[in-house]
Amino acid sequence: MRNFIQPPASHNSAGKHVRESKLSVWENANMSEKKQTVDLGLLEEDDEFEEFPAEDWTGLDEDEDAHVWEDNWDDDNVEDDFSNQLRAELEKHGYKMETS
Amino acid sequence: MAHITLNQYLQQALEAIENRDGSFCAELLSFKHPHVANPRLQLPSPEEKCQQLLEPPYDEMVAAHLRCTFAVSNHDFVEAYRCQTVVVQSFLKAFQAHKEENWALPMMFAVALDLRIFANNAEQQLQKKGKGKVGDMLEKAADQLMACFRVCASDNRAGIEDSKKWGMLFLINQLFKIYFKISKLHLCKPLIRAIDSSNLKDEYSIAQRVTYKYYVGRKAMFDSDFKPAEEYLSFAFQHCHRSCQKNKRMILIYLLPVKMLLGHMPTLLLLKKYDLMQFADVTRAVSEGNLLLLNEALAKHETFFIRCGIFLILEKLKVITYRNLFKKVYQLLKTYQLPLDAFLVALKMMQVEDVDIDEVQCILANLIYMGHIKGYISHQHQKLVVSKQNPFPPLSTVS
Repeated sequence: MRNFIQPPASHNSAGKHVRESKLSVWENANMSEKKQTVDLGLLEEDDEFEEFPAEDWTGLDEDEDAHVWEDNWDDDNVEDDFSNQLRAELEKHGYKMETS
Repeated sequence: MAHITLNQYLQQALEAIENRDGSFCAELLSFKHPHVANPRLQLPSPEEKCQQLLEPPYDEMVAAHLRCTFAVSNHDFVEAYRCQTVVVQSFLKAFQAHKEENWALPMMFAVALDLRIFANNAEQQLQKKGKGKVGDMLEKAADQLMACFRVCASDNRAGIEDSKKWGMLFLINQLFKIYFKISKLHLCKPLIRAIDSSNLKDEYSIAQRVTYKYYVGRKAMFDSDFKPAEEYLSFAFQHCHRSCQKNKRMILIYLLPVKMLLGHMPTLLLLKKYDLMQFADVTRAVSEGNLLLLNEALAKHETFFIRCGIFLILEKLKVITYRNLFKKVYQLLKTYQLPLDAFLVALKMMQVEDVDIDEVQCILANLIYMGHIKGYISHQHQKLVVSKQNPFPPLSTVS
């Protein structure tokens, strides 16, 4: 007997009625039929932003990805290879530079 | 579901509708669901049976859906698309008649998504045969989705729990996908305005909000509004579900140029993690001020950058690179009065073609105008005179 009560609202609530795909309920379905569904060519194109498999998730399901952006490249540092190359070129053209 | 008869299927649909079980009814109409592979349901003319059991417009809606499964089983996506438009039309008739209730929203999501996907598939099919104008079917699908959107947006009577306004963001995201595909970004504007002025804006599901921010972020980038673009794309990147690596990567592809223009360089670790090493040389070149390497890096991965639609944005990094190169000259010479010739030496080292003092002045004038350099050109002394305070302001303070 099917449960006709509204499915539990996601933790974030009011008014959101979209629940996760119930595909798992149909695990009894013949494997070949499931494959056929996929073969019906209904996948989105490769370069499209995909539909998410779930509607809601918490921070636990998000990647930390901390410290991925650097600003220190713009510090007053002229000791890298490229700076040395530039220094040498300027010297070659007669510019005198104090060594740091 | 794999073995049920037409009668059983129609009974389930009838019950779902009578019980206002929008979620289950949505599955009965969705092509993600295995029933679409059931040969007993793949029928070219199921109208009579549907009319026997279901009230209009549900009879028409379900009949069109079953005709659609038949078309899809024959790999005829043009016909499938046609059927799906009938499904959406009939659904909308029913939906509009639901006063102050929104139980059918899951159904709308299912049929709207399938409509867009079939429009895509149908166009691809036609193009392979050399027929059909690109974007035609997608535009028509967009028109239908807009009709659904209007029904949702104009629901002012129902209380929040029962409001059809909960359907707005999902539809907007589908419309964004179409407008981006057919390069009609300007059509996004009224939709963005609608959401911005909505009190539900931060209440939609995280999935819908991440998708939304991805697209508005890209639009902002396209409009050269880099600060808002950074905000939107960063949100999307941070909150994207960790198992959706493909989506994370796509967000990053657009976040990277924006971050770099604002002076924030990605770590190699980040680029490796998301398989975006195409940006490695670009990043290094820009942060060094190495114009030569930048040109080489852009040329090397031109195809990739063009396909992603970011080649022109990356070209803007040349300005940043000039700024970084000239800043190095300033740091090496350690003087506030810099001979224009010194910059010429630097540019010639970068193998910039046909560069002379006039060109140097032109570039410097532009950098000053844009706020990247605080100073002025002394023509009499052929020097760039820079401010003693912060002559090369941080990039994040400029744009």
